[in-house]
Amino acid sequence: MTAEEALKWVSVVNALTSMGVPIAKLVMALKAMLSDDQVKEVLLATRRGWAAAQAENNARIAELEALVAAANG
Amino acid sequence: MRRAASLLILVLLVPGCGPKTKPVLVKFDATALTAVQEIARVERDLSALGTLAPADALAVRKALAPVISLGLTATDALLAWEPGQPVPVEMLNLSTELGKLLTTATLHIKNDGARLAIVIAIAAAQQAWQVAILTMQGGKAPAMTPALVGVA
Repeated sequence: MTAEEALKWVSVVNALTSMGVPIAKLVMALKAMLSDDQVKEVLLATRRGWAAAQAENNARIAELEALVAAANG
Repeated sequence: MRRAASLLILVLLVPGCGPKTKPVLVKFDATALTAVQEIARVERDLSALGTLAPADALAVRKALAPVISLGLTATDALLAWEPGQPVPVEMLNLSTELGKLLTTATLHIKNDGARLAIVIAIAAAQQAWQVAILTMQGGKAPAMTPALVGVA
């Protein structure tokens, strides 16, 4: 999106809010305009986040188990 | 550009043409992930400060494991899911597991600030879940709020 296009979007949003459209509804509407491809992109990014969280959690569990075992041993 | 603006106005004005279900579900999935990341961060911070015993930290981390596992399967289910199909059961289970996680985290983490951060993170996921259920049920309020059911 060019700067000019972005400014046009801002003016559209400003016009709608001045007409009394709640900003939350605008955000929901913008989200609703996401294409299937964009939704898929977001989901794939989220999936990578879950996978990274799983790897970090497993590593941390191993680390803590070793700490607890050392404290008990 | 003009076409896109017209579309936005149309989406806002036509009843029943508002939020699509899939993006709302995606938001729940993303906020659930944020809650998990926040709890992991809090555990690391408190452990580094020496205010969380390793055994308590381990209990929190073990409680995170099933939530993360469900997060992965729920995301896979969402990728395959189409509007009109039943809500993926993994999404509902993910919300329930978040509630259990909240109970475990608040039992083991005594630091008030850290507990508040965890409650806020899970509440955000809960709110996103509620919006998802409202959207899927066409405006009907959910019968219960699973993510907070686990709080005594």
